[in-house]
Amino acid sequence: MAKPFNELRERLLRAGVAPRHVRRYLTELTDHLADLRAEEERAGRSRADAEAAALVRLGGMDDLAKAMIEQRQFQSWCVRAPWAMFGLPLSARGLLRRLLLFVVWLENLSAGIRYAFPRLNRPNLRACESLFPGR
Amino acid sequence: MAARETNPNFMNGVPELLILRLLQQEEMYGYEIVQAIRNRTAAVIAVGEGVVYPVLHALEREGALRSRRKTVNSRSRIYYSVTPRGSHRLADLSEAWSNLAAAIQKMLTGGQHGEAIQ
Repeated sequence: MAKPFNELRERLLRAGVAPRHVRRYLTELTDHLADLRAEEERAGRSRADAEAAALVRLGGMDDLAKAMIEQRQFQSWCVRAPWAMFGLPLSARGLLRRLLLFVVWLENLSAGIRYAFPRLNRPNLRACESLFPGR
Repeated sequence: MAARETNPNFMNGVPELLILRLLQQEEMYGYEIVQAIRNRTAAVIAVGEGVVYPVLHALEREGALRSRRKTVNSRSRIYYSVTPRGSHRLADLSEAWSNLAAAIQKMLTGGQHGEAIQ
């Protein structure tokens, strides 16, 4: 990648543009810059002048960054819908934790009831007594 | 990187229209598109050339354009062409801009306000 685009890449990534869109944008800008430089060199400019002229024609850093950042559909999900990336998993985790606590509470309740009413541990006892009253 | 003066905000939507119009005739890659716009508008429409790519990518994402990688003269390029959805979009945009241009022209040549906005 051409050196002038390092800063642009940083700006786009910091603004939340998804890395794959940044990569494609910079690839096409690099190719475009090479074409412009070649055109300027064919027009008789030195390599340094051609490079400078090509950069001017390509557009200012602010314009290039703004054009991409304004396209909201190219931003990563972390920026577009942070609730989906961070909020939902956290809520899901919270829900799971509450569910586990509820299960533990139910188990404790059940143990408490069995302790308080020991006959409940032998659910068939009364049925046996009614079937075989003499035993 | 040096700044380049570009057209103001009223140019919003124009790059889309021009790109769709050009690509309806033949597939092109970014550099070709910009040169074609420059040549056909006699450089009246000036945009930072790199700014064309976010517009191309957005149109592709909306399904108005499709792209394919093609190697020409040992260089790999991304060529863009118009889809059927892009053709519909071009028709809508062309009509809207023709109406707008006609209304502005009427205003500039002294037509009545009531006529101009119809």
